[in-house]
Formats: sequence, structure tokens, C-alpha cells
Amino acid sequence: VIVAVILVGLVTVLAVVLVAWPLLHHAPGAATEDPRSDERRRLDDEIERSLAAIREIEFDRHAGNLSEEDFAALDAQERARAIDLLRRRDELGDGA
Amino acid sequence: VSLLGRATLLLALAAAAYSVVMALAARSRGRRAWQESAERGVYAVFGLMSVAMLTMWAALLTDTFELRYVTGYTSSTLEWPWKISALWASQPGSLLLWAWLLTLFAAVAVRLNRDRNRELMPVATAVLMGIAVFFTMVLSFVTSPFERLATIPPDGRGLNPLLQNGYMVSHPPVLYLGYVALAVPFAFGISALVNRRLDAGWIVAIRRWTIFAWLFLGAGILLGAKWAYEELAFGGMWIWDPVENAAFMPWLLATAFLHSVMVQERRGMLKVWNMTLVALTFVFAVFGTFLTRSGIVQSVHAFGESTLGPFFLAFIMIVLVGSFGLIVSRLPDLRSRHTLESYASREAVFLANNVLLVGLTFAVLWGTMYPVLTESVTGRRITVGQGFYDQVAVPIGVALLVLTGIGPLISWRKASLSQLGRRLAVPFALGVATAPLLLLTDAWSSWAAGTVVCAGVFVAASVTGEFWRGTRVRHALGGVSWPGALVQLVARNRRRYGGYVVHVGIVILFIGLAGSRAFVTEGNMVLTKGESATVGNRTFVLEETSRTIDEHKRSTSVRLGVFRNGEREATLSPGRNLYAALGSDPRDAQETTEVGIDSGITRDLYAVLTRLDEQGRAIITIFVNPLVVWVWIAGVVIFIGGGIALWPPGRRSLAPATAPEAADRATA
Repeated sequence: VIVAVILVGLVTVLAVVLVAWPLLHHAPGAATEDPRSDERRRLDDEIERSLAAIREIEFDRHAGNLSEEDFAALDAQERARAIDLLRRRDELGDGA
Repeated sequence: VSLLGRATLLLALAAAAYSVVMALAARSRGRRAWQESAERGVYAVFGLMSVAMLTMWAALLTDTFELRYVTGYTSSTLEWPWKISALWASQPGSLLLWAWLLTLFAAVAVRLNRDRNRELMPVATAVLMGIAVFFTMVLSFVTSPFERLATIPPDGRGLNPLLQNGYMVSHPPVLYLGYVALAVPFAFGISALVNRRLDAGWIVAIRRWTIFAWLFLGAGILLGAKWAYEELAFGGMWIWDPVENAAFMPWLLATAFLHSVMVQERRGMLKVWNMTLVALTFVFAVFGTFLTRSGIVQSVHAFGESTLGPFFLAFIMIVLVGSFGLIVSRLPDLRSRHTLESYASREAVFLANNVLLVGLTFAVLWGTMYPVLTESVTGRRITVGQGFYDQVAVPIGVALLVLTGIGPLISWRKASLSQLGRRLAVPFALGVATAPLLLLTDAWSSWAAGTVVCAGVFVAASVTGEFWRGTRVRHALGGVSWPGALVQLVARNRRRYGGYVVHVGIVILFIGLAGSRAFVTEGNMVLTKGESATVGNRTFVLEETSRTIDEHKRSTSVRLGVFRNGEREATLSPGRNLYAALGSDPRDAQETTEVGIDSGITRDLYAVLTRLDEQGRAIITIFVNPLVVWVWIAGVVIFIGGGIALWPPGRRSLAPATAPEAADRATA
């Protein structure tokens, strides 16, 4: 029983220190991250997906999966989306 | 041990509740330190649950019979691998495993997202820890694995012999990996709804989690089927048992979700549908756990009953009402960017695939719950036979298989029919050409099996064509060898080509299932030593009988020689074991059947010894099951394909690119 009590005490102290650490080492009232940096990362991800989609459309055209007509429509649509995303990211600035 | 276990569970409950409160407070007040503290709370909960798990395993391995659970499911003579697996032999241990995996996945999700999806993390953390609160509460106050006995017995009752099987060591944890991992997509989905971040961002955050869950849920189902095949001695692997259905339903929904998220990613459509699916998939995962462990359904797979029902039902209701209330409140934000432009498009194929998968899920749910409903209304339990499920599942399965072949060949948005026709021509011709060839076999004696084979050839040709065209382009563009081009093709788009490998696995699975269900030959015989009987074109000779007794069991077995065209084809050794009652109650004695199996590429020979009487007469049932081994091979292929899709891609840096630069790069 004594060993169990000591172990319980030990894990309790460890858990409390673990969760309390950020509260003691941050200035009180510090704001969460800049929402713009989160938005920038999100846009980066979307841009990456959009560019991957453009590459895939191009690849499918080479592979013969898309007719020229299908390719032109899909490619134009995805490129417009990529450019729109890039423009939105540029408007956010470089985040420096 | 009891004190340590109970205390760590209570501390885990407190830490999880703290994380919920801190994460929600951090979101409303915008305090970064509070969110960090909440996330560290997740690590603390995981650490505490790990201590509880290790404590339980230590108790099982060291025969700590002061715990009711250890006494109930182990004995001092039980071998150590079974003592480890005794953790998931019954309800409290299984729920401990569930909760531990949940906290593990929550900790991994927090760690992986320390620099990403920060806006989603507070609510996602709160949801995951909210689920942890429920499970730690149940484990602390309703069904504790650390419950002490008033008097310590000299030995335990031992583990059910049916559970002393290698597949039972792996099947429950693998299945639980799948069930529990579905909590992460659910948490991010709810967070996206609360934060109104309803673009494809949350989907990207949970894509791999969903593939992981789907993969392990599928692997768990197959391992359970293999266990049933070897241990339950009914000659098959799947009987639409409620517990089998419990795992199958979330797997079907996760399959639908994996396809429909691609539509949202590419076309910005199906947002409401995806939110609905992610919530339903999680609800069905919890419902599956509930169904398996509550005892409300009768099942060959259920090894423990309990009074957990009301708690789980209340939890499921909270999740359902909360999720769908949130979805309804966000309907204006969930409006799609595009509409379906043509039925000849990939999104239309995915939509049809989703309708079929969800339809099948609800048909299976109806069949599973019908006995419970009839009992509650009429007082009589009316079970639903396999015929109902087969009638629904076979046509839907064939339709899904055909869609699997069409999907990769059709473009997004709107495909020109001439192009689609060109792409479909060869696979379709091969599928149709298979039909007359099957007349040379007896495949058409079951229309379903014949259709599955034709559809399977169509899909295999479609997928092979995709690999061939892709490799050819890579070879031409990259100047690499053919094998190099194939590797490059898969490595550059792992999700797509990993998915195709999964589709090949699905074709093999369907053909294996069609063969093993539609063309079974069965025969019963009563033989004494030296006698023979014929089943189909094989002769079975009873060559030997034996009886042995050891400290655990009395065993009877026979040796059957199998002859075909006068040549020995195989030797089968089916038997039965009668395990002695370890406790004082002789009713605890259990009998198991050890089937004799000879597996081959085209068929399994499967023998069940029903009885060996004192006069040496053996009552034996023989099954000749075609193509069974292909079901297990399909599992391996699907797992490999899923593994490819799951593997993270190398990340390209986008940092220096501006709009014109990146557009140029894409063009190049």
C-alpha cells in the first residue's frame, strides 16, 4: 500500500508540473498565435494541393485519360483557383 | 495494485476534465498559455492511462487474484501470451484498452499539430478529452478493471479456451486501433464546425487518420474472420453476426468518407455530407463497442455482458444530438462552391458509391437491430437470417465493384462521353469476354459469383490500364527505366496509386468471398477406423483415432486421409477438447472444436469432428471451400495499398513562391 501511495503521489506531482508549466512560464494574458500565420499555413496547404491537382490534370492528359477539351476546362479552372489562392496569400504579406 | 490502478484512472479523469475546460477557455479568451496547458494535460492523461494499463498487465502476469478481473480471466497455469491478451477478454479490460488508445491518439494528434491547424486545436483537444472523460468515468465508477475481491481465491477461473488463439491476441487490439482512431477525424470535424473553418483544411488534417482507422478496422475484421474460421467450426468465416456487423458498419461509412472527402478537396462539394459522415462514422464506432460489450445482442463473438447500455446510449445520444445540431446551425456556411455539372463525372461516381455504402450500412443496421426491436415490441426475439443480408449486400457489392472500375477512368467535373468510351472499351470488353469463358467452369451456377468475376476482371483491367498509362508517361517524361518509372509513379502520388492497389485487393476479396460462399461442398459422415466416405470427387478415409488427457483438458481427435483420383491429396486432423473446470462449478467446463484445415490456392479442405463415441465411431462434417485463401491474400494486398496511401509524401517548399512564380512553376 505504501509503495502504491508513493507511486500515486509521484505521478500526481508529475502531472501537475506538466500541465502547470506553461501557465508559470508565459506572461499572463499572452495572446494565442497570430491568426494570420495560421491563415498563411492554411493557404500554403491549399496552394500545394491546388498545384498538385494541376500537375495531376497535366499527367492525366499525357496518359490519355483526358481529352483536349476536358483538359482545357479542368486545367483553366484549377489554375484560376491556384492564382486566387496565391493572391490571397500574397495579400497577407510575408509574415515577417 | 487496486489502489494504484483506481487512483491513476481518477487522476486521468481529472486531467482530461481539466484539458476540456482549459482548451475551451483558451479558445474563448485567446490565451496561448492556457491552450498549451490543455495540450500538456492530454500528455498527462496519456501518461496516467499508460500507468493504469501497465498496472493491469502487471497484475495479470503476476497472478494478482485480489482483482476480480484477474481471477475471472486468468489462472496460475495460463501461459503468459494469453495472460497479456486477457486484458481484452472482457468488458472492463477492453474499455481500458479503448481509453488508453484514445489518449495515445489524442497525444499524437496534439504533437503532430503543434505548428499546424492551431485554430482547430482548442476545440479538437476539448472533444478528444471529452470522450476521454466519458471512458475514464465509466472505468472509474461503472465497470472498473481494478475492482478488489473481499476474499482472495487460490487460483483464477482461467481464460475461455476459444480466446486462447493467436488471432484473438491480435484481432481485438487491431480492431480497436481502427475504432478509436476514428475519434480524431470526428474531433477535427466538430472543431471545424465550431470555428466555421469549413474549407478543405480540416479534411487534410484528418485524411491520414481516416486511412489509418479504415485500414486497421478492415484488418481487425479480417483477423476476426480468420479466428471464426479456425475456431468456431461452422465452415465459414462470416455469418453476419451482430458483432461482425458492429465492426463492418463503421468500416463501410469510413470507406464512403474516404471517397467523399476527395470530392470536397477537389470540387468544394459535399460539405454537409462529409460532416454527417464523419459524425456517423464515430457514432457507429462507439455503437460497435457498445454492441459488442453491452450484451443486448446475441453473438458468437461476445464474451461478456454488462449493464453499460444506458451509459453508452446516453453518450451516443449526446454525440448525435450535439453533432447534428452543430451541422444544422452551420448549414449556410456549408453551402458548396460548385454543383454537380454532369452525371458523367468522377464526383457523380463517388456520390453513387457513397449512396450505396451508406444504404448498405443502414440495411446492416436494420438487420442487426431487428431482433432487439422485435423483442422490445412483441416480447419475442425474431432474428434476421443470412438470406436477408445476402439479398441486400450482393447486388450492392457488385454495383460498388463496377463503380470501382469506372471511378479512376472518369474525369472530374464533366467527362466527354467519347473519351470515357475510349477508356472504358478495353476493360469492359475484357469483363464481357470473361462471361463465356466462365461457362467452362461452374461459376454461372451462381449468377452472383459469375457477375462478381466479370466485374472483377473489368476493375482489374481498369486499374492495370491506369498503372500502364502512368508508367509509360513517367518513362517517357523522366527518362527512367520501366521499373523506376513505376516506382516513381506510385511514390509521386501515393494516395491515388495506393488506392488503386487497395482496389485490386478488393477485387481479390470479392472473388475469394464469391467462391467461398457460393460453391461450398458439404458432407456429413459417420466412420469407424478404416472406413471411408465420399464428398464431391474426394474420398475421406478414417485412418486413426486418439484420446489424450493432460492437466487442462481431455482431447479426442481423428486422422483423415483425403484421396482424389486414387492419390493422397491431404491429411486432416480435426479434434475436440474438453477443458476441465478450474473453479468449483463443473458447469465452467468448456468444450472447443479444433478443425482440421488443408489450405490450397484453389480450395480449403475443412473437417469438423462433431463426436467420437466410445465405440470409435466418428461423426465428421466436411466442407470443401473454394478460394478461401484469396480472402486472406486480399487482406495483405489491401493492407499494402493502404500503407502506400498512408505514407507521408516528401514536402515541397512553397515559401518563396508568389502568385506569378508559382503559376509559372505549375505550368512548367
